[in-house]
Parts: sequence; structure tokens; C-alpha cells
Amino acid sequence: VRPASEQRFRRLLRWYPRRWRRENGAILLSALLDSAERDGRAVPTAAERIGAVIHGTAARVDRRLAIVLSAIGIAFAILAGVLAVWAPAGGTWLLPSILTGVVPALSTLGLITVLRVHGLIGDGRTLAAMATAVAAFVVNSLTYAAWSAGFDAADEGVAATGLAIAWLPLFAVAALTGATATALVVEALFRRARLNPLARVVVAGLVGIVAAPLIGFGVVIPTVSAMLALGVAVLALLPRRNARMTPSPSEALRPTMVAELRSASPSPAVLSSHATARLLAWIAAGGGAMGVVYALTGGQWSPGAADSTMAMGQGITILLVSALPLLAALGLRIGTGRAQLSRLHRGVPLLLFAISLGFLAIAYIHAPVWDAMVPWFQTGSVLSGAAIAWWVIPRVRMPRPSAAFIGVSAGGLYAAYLGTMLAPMLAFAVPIGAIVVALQRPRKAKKPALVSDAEPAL
Amino acid sequence: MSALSTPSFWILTALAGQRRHGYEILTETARSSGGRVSLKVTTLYAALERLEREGLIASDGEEIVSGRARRYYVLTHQGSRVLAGEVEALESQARVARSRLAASGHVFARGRSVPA
Repeated sequence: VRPASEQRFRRLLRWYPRRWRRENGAILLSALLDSAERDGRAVPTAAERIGAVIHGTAARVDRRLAIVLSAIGIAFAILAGVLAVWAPAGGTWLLPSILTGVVPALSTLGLITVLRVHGLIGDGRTLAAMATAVAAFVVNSLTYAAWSAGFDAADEGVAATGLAIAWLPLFAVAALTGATATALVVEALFRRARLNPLARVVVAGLVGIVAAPLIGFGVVIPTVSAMLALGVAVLALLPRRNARMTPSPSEALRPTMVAELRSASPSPAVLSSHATARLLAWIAAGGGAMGVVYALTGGQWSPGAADSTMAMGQGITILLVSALPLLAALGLRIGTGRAQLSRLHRGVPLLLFAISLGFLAIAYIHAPVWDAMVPWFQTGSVLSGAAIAWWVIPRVRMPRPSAAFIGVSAGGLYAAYLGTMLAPMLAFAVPIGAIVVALQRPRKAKKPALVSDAEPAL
Repeated sequence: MSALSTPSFWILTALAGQRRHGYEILTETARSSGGRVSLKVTTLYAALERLEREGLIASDGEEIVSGRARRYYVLTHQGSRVLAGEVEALESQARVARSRLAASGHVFARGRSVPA
């Protein structure tokens, strides 16, 4: 192959990302030239060109892309939460577009990328599934816009026009493209199972037909979109099969420590802490029970509650205040437990959560006047988000930057809107949680194990 | 039914017991499959990358031969296991087909079936 012809083969490498070319370009070029010499060719074949386009483009679909896509997805999910909860009037068209189009599209692209990175789907299938999924979510978003326009027209009593009359065909196209994208992925995953090819295609098609409309409808719920984005981020950051983390010498337990742990029995100080924790938990249970009763019946008898809505708000305040001794009890339990984490990582999230509950309790004093509740709710949600982030980061078994990404994302999503949805539900769980903590007993001491420095037990 | 695609099966077969570079895998695959599998270079490298991600093969050093870069690949332990499983599945299928054909009167001679 002459140098002038070699250039033609070299041009194929332009389809590949620079990093890939640096690592593999010379190897691929050598094999291309060997193959051309054997066949007596001076130019690449059509199949080689097509292969370079597909493989080169798919080479960009790597773990880094999955992380970037999921990070952007989470950022948009947080924006959607802010629009949905804190600025509902400002999100008339933007919010549905983000929820039904942008976040699920980014999350799905991230998910397909993860599947390719783990070798579960091939290059051509990856690109086809990605293109179809993006088309499906674009049409899904248009379907919601059309349906919304038709709903508004019906509300005003005028005839639907323009986009509004196209919602049904748009829905059909969205369902069809969504089913195709789902089937493309599912069929590729089924290849690992020893299934008849025809059965594989039929099952994948059925899964697509059932799943696509469910996904299309489901993503309009902010929580679903948010969980999807966070789930893909976790998958993207999971260590690869061949690169599992091993504990560093400082993190690994020394055999003597194991012996100490195995022989540990509750000391008088620990028993005293447990007694205090139980007392606090019973106080929380009592306060929580009062909160539930007040929330459900206070409107009928309390002079401080003008109606049942106000009583519900005040009852939630009592419940949230009752959660404070429960958190203190949990703090004592964790403090005397066998956790490997420092006091800072054990105590600060609880403290932040306790302060956030204080703010949420004040917010409910102002119920049902939403404008008066907002600043307290916002501060409480942000502090709860910070507590979640701090709690998650040191506990996720991943490299610290990945753990920080997951923790901050989870905290951010909670602060954005999950807090407002979960806080009242969590409040009603206080008495049950408190009774569970109050009934827990300190762990029984185990028989000392014969473990020495010379005989590692791990 | 097969869990490995036909190209993947022949690539793993080419690497069974011997390290080979990309172009060598290409020629060996065409030879041992009797010309039924003819991979293109770009397709081969896409398949090699995928098999490497799945942990079935591993790269085993690079060399410059006659001015051209060669990267060698070897079958991993997991790759051997998967290939062995595939071979057993194919043999089991072949046994069933062979017994059915024999029952219907086919006679197998020198690898070719002769209708009765």
C-alpha cells in the first residue's frame, strides 16, 4: 500500500475520538493495511467504512459520557423540582418539557451508555437505541404539550386547533418509537439468554409495547424522573467488574481489632446510653401519638385550630418536634454502635436533620398559608438535603469523588422537591419509628473468638 | 440456542490456546470457519473491544513487526469457561439433531449426511 493510499485508510480513523486514536489508532491502521495488501486493494472497502463510522461513533459512548449525561439529567431534575414546588407559575411549558423530554431522554441515554460500557449491547444497537429513544422522548414531550393545549381549549370552551388536535397521532408515534427503543435494548439483553431468536424478538417487542406507554406516562411525575436520573448516575459510577475496590491497609480491620470486636460486650456506659436512648424514644413515641391524635381530631376540640386543615398543620408540627428526641436517641445508638465512621460523619448528618426538622415544624405552624410556610420549608429542605448528602458520602463504597457526586445529587434532589412531599409522610412515621427504637435492646455479647495477629480472620 | 454471536464464537476459538494479534485473528477466523465467517477489520476491533469489556479476552502486549503495530490478545479464564459452555451446548444440540436424523434413516459418513 503506497503512502498516498495509506492516507485513505488513515482518514477512517477520524471517526474515532482522539483518546481512542491515541491508544488504538496505529493497531487498527496496521490491520487495515494488512487486510488491503492481502486483497490487493488501495482503498478501504464499503464495509470497513461503515464499520468505522459505527464503531468510531460508538467509541464516544463511554463511562465518561454516562456520568456527564446523568449529571446533566440530575441538574435538570433539580431544576424541574424547583419549578414544580417553588415556582409553579414559571414552569407552564418548561416544566413538562423537562419532565417528559429532557430528563428521561438524558437518563435513558445514560442507561444505554452504561449497558454498552458493560458489554451488554453492541455498537450498532447502542446508536440505534439512542437515536430512537431521543426521538421517542421528543415526541413524548410534544404529546404532552398537545394534550395540555387541548385541555386548555376544552376548559375555555373553544374548539381545539393546531398542535392540540394532533395529540392522538403524536401519542401513537411516541408509543411506537418508545416501544422500538425499548425492544432494541431488551432484545440485545436477551441475547445472553439461550432463547430462540424469534422468541427473543417477540418477547422484546411485547416488553416494548407494555413498557413504553408506562414510561411515557410515568416520567411526568417529578419523583419518577428524579429517581431515574439518580439511578443512572449510581449505575454509571459503579466500579467496573474487573476493578472492584479493595480496602486499603488502613481501612482493613486488623485481626486484633476483629478479636476485640468479637469479644466486645456492652459496657456499663453503653448500657446507660441505651437506657437514655430508650427513654428519649418513648418520649418521641408519646409526643408522636399526641401529634397524630391532634392532627386528625384537633379541628373538633382545640381552641387553637379554626378548622381541620389548621389542626393537621399543627399536628404535623407536634410530630416534627417529637422527632427531635427520636433523633437524639438514634444519635446515642449510633454513637455506641460498632460503626467504623468517625463521630463527625455519624453526628453531623443527624444534627443537620434535627435543625431541618425544626424549620419544617415552624413552617407547619403557618399552615395552610403557603406563602408564610415557604421560607421555613425551603431552609428546612436545604438542610435535610445537606444532611442526606453528608450521610451518603462517607457510606457509599465508591471512590470519594463518585460518592460525593451521588451524595450531593441525592441531597440536591431531596432539597429540590422530595422534601415537601416526604416531610408530612415522615412526620406520621415518627411514633412508629420511636416505638421500634424504644423496643430495641443492646446486642448480646458474643463469645470471644480466638483470633490472633498471626491468623488473619478476614 | 447460542449465547455467543457467531463472530464472537470464532474469535474466542481462534484465541483458544494461543495468543494472536488482530490481523492473525482475522485470517484464523476465516480459515477455521471454512470461509463462512469473514470479519472486516473495523468489525473485528469492535468485537475485540466488546469481548475485552466482558472480560472474555485480554490484551497481552504490543509489538512492532515490519514497521506495523501489533496488539496481541489472549483468552481469559472466563473466556475459556464461556467458550467451553458454548461448545457443550452446540454438541448437545448436534447430538439431538444427529439422533433424530439417524432415526429417520440418514447415514452419516465422513462428516456428510447421506439421505437414506
